[in-house]
Amino acid sequence: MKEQVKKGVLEIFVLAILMRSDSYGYKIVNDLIQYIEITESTLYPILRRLEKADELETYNVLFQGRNRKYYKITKTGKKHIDEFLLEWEDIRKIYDILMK
Amino acid sequence: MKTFLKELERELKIRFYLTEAEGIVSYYEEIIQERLDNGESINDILSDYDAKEIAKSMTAEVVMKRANDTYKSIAKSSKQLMLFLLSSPLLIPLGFAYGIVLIVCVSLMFAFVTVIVASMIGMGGLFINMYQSGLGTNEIIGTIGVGLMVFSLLIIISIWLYQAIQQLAKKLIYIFSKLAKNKGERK
Repeated sequence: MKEQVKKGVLEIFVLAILMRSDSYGYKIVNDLIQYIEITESTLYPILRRLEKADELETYNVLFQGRNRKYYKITKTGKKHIDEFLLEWEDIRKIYDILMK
Repeated sequence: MKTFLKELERELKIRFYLTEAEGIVSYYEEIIQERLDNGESINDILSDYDAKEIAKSMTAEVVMKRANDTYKSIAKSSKQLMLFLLSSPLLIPLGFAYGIVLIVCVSLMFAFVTVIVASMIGMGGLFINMYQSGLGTNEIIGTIGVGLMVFSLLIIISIWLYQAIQQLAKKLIYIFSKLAKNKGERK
C-alpha cells in the first residue's frame, strides 16, 4: 500500500481491531500484520495520537505477574470510523460518476 | 533486555520529559515481554530494535503533541526539535529553515524590548530635563500625564507581544514537527 494512503488508514485499522474487542500492543501488531506492513514502532505513535484525541482509552490488567496495557475504543473513536467510511463511500460514488 | 531498556531510557531522556520517556520504555518493555512469552529468543527480539533510532523516530511526534504552554517547555521543545532536525541528514535543510525563522523572531523580540526600554529611559531623561529647565507645574504635570499614558500603552503592547510570541513559537514547533514527520515518513 502506498505510504500516503497507508498513513491515513492505519488509524482506522487500529480502531477497527479494537471494535472487535479490547486489545494490547503486541496483539494489535500481530492482528494487523496479516493485512498491512506495521511494526511496534509505527504503532506506538498511532496509539498515542488516538489516545490524545480521546478515540481510545487504556486500562491495565495483571497478566503473569506483570501489567498488560489494554486499549479500548471510545464513542469518539467509533464516530471516527463511521465518518471515514462515509467519506470513502463518497469517494467511490464520485469515482463511479467520473467513470460513466 | 534490561540493558536495552536502560539504553532506550537514556536515549529518550536526552530528548523527552521523564513521563514521556517512561511511557515509551514501558511500551517496549511490554512488547519485548510478550514476544518472549511467545517463544522468541531475546537476541532475535533485540536485533529488531535500535534505541537511538526509536528515540529519533519518536521526536517529531512527541514534540508536536506537547502542550508547550510555558516558555520553559517551548524553549525545551524548540531545542529538541532543532537538534533532531540537524541530526538527520534528510532534515538538515528544514533545520536551517527553522533556525532562521527562530533567529528572526528572537531578533524582533529583542528589538521591541530595546525600543520599550529606550523609551522609558528617554522619558526619565525628559522629565529631569524639564525639571531643570524651570518649566511651570502645569506643563510638567501635563507631560508626566502623557508620559504615563505612553508607558501604559507600552506595557499593554508588551503583554500582547509576550502572548503573541508564545503562540507563534508554539505554532512553529507544530508546523516544523509535522513537516519533519511527513518528510521522515516519505523517506
